[in-house]
Amino acid sequence: MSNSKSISKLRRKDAFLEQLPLVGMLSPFLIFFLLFTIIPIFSSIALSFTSYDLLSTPKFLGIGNYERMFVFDDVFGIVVKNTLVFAIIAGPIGFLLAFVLAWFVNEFSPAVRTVLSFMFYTPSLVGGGLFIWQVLFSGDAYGYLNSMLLSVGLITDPITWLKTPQYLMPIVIIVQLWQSMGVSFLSNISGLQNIGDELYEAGAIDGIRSRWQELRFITLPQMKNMLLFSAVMQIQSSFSVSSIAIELAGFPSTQYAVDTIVSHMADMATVRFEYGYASAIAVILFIMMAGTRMLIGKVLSLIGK
Amino acid sequence: MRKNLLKLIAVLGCLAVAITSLPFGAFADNEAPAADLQAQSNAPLVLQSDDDELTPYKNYLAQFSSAKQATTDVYIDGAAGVFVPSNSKESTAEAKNNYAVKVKAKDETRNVLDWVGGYGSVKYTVDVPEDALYNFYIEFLPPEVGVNVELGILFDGQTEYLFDGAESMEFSRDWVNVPTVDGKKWREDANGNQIAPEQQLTGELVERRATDDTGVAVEPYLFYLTKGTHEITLVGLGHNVVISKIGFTAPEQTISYKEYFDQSKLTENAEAADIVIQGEDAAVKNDNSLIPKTNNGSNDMIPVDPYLTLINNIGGTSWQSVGQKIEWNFTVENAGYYQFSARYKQSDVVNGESWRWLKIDGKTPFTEAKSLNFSYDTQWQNYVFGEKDGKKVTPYYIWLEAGEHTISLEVTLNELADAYDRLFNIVEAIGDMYLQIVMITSETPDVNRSYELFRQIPTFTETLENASKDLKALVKDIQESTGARGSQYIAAMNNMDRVINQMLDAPFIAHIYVSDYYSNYTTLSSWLSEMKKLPVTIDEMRFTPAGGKADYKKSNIFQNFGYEAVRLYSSFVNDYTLYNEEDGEEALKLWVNWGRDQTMALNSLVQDSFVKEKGINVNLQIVSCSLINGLLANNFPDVQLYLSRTAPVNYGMRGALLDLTQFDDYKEVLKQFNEGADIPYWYNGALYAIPDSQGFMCMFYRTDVFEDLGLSVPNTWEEFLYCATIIQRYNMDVYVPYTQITTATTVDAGIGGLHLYPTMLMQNNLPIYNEEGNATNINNVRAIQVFEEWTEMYTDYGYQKQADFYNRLRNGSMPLGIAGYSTYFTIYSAAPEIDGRWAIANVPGTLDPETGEINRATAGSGSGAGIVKASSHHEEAWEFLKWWTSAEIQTRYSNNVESILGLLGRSTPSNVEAFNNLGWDPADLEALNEQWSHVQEVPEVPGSYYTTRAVDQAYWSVINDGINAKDAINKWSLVADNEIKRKIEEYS
Repeated sequence: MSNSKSISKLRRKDAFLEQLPLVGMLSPFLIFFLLFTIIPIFSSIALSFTSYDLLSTPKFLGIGNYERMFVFDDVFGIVVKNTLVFAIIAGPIGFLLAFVLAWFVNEFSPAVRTVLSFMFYTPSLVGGGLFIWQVLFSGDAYGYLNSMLLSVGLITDPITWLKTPQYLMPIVIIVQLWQSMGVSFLSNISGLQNIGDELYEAGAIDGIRSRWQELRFITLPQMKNMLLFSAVMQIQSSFSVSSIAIELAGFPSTQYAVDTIVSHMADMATVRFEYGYASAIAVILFIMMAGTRMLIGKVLSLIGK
Repeated sequence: MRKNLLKLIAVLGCLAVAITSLPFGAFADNEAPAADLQAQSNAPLVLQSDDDELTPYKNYLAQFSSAKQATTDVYIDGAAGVFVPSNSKESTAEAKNNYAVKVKAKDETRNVLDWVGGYGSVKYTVDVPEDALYNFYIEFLPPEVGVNVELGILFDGQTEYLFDGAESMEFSRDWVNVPTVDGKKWREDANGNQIAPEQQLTGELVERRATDDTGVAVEPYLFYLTKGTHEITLVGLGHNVVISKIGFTAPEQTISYKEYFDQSKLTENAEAADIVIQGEDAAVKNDNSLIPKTNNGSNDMIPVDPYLTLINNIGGTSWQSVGQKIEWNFTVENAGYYQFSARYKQSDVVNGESWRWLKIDGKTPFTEAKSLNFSYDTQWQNYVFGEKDGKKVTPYYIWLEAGEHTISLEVTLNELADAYDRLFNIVEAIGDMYLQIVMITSETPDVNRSYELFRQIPTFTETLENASKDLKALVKDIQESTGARGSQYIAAMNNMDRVINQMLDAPFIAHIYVSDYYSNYTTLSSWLSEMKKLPVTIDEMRFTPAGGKADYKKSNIFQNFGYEAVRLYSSFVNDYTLYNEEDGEEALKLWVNWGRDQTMALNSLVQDSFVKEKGINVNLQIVSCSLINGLLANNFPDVQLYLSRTAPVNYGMRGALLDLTQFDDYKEVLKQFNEGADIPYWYNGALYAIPDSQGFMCMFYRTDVFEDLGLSVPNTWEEFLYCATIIQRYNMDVYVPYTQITTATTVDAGIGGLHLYPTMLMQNNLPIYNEEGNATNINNVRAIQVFEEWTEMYTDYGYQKQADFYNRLRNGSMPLGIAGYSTYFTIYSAAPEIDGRWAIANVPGTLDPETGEINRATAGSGSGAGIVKASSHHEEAWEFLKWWTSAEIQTRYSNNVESILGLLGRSTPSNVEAFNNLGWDPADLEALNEQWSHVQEVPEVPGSYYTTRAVDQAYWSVINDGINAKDAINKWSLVADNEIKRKIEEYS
């Protein structure tokens, strides 16, 4: 008996030693991840209980920040609503778009596929290129949309698109979707590429009659991991929509119509020097995003069943 | 039965179509009544440009085509003038005999007229020796500050100028490099990189002849004078000047190269060395933007170093305007014929030439030297100037005696002059026609209406036909004379011609081509200003003795490769951010987030002036992160310049900036600024920054459009609204500024520069904040009224909320608008075709019904300079601040940056004296000073950014949702008040 114990201990030690080189290779990433992602999360949680303006020492406030957030700050309510609108509309639509477009693009020959995927992917790279949307939606009578509508006669006065709350949300959603064909789109394409032809052949033999069935029974289950990754990316980006809104609609936007939690946080921190409150907002955002991620994970695990 | 059913369906269908097309008809109907009103109200106007009253110089000269050119000169002493003061402006002109002047570094005396103030006129009597054409000559001492001297000239008591150019003749000044303080050839930074020198006036007498500054007349102006006594009146235009001599001189006669070159005197001397003249060694220039420059892109530059940037050339895009002249000195040992060549780069006039007028010792050697051509190539060229015969070039030989000589090269339009003149007139006619069209159809004509432009504008058909004819002729001439050159512009002219012909061919629907017409017109007018730009960069020039070959440095491929390799290596080892050697505790640290040009200008000023005089070392670095980050990381500067408007109070109350009232002389320092310029930087009795730049708004308007519409410049808001209704009736617009709030503007500009609301509040004597500074004052009854008035401009009067004012002023569709005064720079330098047709005026004021006075207060914006509290060098930092905001340094800095970057590089200093020293036109300077005297500042309180935001949100809720102004203000002012209260509590 002592033999087996020592043997298993030895095995564990061997196993441990075997894993050591792997840990070594991962360590650069792990160190940076720890320093710049994990530790700031904890320090952020800690700061959220204080009042801190960067130039003096933090003052302990207890749950004062959270109190203010939920009870006193009416802007917070608006931004949560906006963020949820983005997350609910732009998130799933972006997710679907990423998949559907990848699926269509996958149908073409490799050359055409490269060109098409390049066309869809580049908007996510051109972060600074948002000014083309500003010109399109410019409130000037010479802005593209305004001048087109004016010359046709549909409107008589130029509309300040980016300053009118009812137009702002759809515009920002469109631009967000335009920019969201990013990494998740590419990973969907590569995932679709990796589904072997023999699966489709086997399916055809087994009696699959339509493309829809093929999609449901073969493609989607094979893509489950990719879809999960894609979903996570989309959620993360739809919750953190803020730079688009700031660039297009101003900071803050008219009547906070497209301000999101992230831009409210940025406002609190950089403009109003209230880093403690901003940290509290960050913590709440973190909880929201983590919760949504778990929900999506549960939904996606149901695919194929 | 079925037939009946079909018939019924057909009838119903027609009815449906008829009913649905009604709305489109309704749109048309909405427009019609307005058009009738307009057709009844005023007859269509024919626009006249200013210069219609004055004869063009070309026409004036054509009258005397048979007259001979003068052969003798006649001069009059400056002191002999009789001064006639102006009725409206203060000015004196005193005759001073034996006035001490410097001529070519020698002391001499002259009898001068010291004209101070520059207004009024001075009369001279001159005895002209013969009937002939003369040049006008003047010898004068230019003022130390301001722009080039301009004078008008009238003859024999006439009140009408002989031609357009005579109204204001511009005389350039002589500039030289400021000598270095340490005796080196050029200023250097800590790494050894050379820095371009500042420019200063020579302080000596300047001789000039009156020339055409548009460049259309290549030779100096010719005035026809009959023999006998004449009275000459010099009309002052506001420039101080000391006149030493005026005169009428014989125009320069030149001989052709054939006559000039004497084959018998040609002796070959292949062994003798070249006479080398380095381009950067220019002695005298007539414009302060002609500074020597650095270029280490090629191994063949002289001098060059792969690690350092050395000064080795002159010219480039700053040497491109007609009349700019650079002069070099050189010595000749052996008399003889020399070939002239240059190592130059001309890569801007694509497939074309840049022209230069060559003079040796102030005289043109032969006629062909008036138009030396620098041809296009993307690379540097070593070119010997000579007669071109296809591809072969026979070099010109220039005779040089032994001794000291000067050589000068001046930008000239040469054969472009005629084409430019013709195109200018065409573009002017097209532009005026466009304005008239816009007055009828607005900028976006309704395609379904029949405006019948040819009936509404009487000169429509004729103007367009002439323009088309002229364009075709011009295109033909350009293609004949230059071959391939100009192809990009010929396309523009052909396009314009095509649109014009489309409009002429379809007169009833000509309006559908209006936007095409406009875009081609703007292309042509941009090309008009581009056409005159003839840049050349010169590295060195050589006079090679006859028979020899110019010995330019020509590296082979290995040397070039080696050079580039070393340069690549140097890019890793060079420290590009360090400007000074001084490390350690003793140096003042200064961080800036500017471009390299501005930083180098500041650095050389710091080294030459501050470090030398005060003995305090300064360490200047370009750093692009904020002060807060620096404080957190414990690596922060001692002084911070150009702090944005809200930053001093925000940082100061959080303990990041030093309270400057602890220095005894702060009150003295504040005196050099406009009164109240420091208000935004005070909080709770502490001063956190002193102003270093200040901006304000003023009103811009098109003088020609105003003249034609019969409008006068509005002084009050009522008058402004009235002007605007007239303007709007002609389908044009006015611009009342509104700036979108982004992160930058919310924190930076402060509310004063964003829109007119604070200005209007001030004009009603309503402060934005209450006395204690702990709440806003915008919800009292009168403030709400002002808010209503302001938003009504956008809701009821329909002014544009967003527009590009510079472009609209330029094309005339927004002839009146209010904008920050730095728009002046943009319009001045980038809209040359409306030169003389626009002006600035004060922002309209509010009439106080009780006192009858007009309150013209205007809100300001700007930045300040402060000292970081955590620094350990408070005293030294204060010395630096005082030095930085002083008049001399602000002037020198702005002039320095302006000579590198052009007019758009000028800063907006808050130091009043420095502002007045910059190169303004006297009339504009007066208007700006007038506006500045009314500028008041908005104080800053904690949470003031929320006021800006609150006003903005209230504004948009009124504009977008039509919410009542009172409700909007009440709601948002509460929000702002809460924020201010919270912030004050937090920090008290």
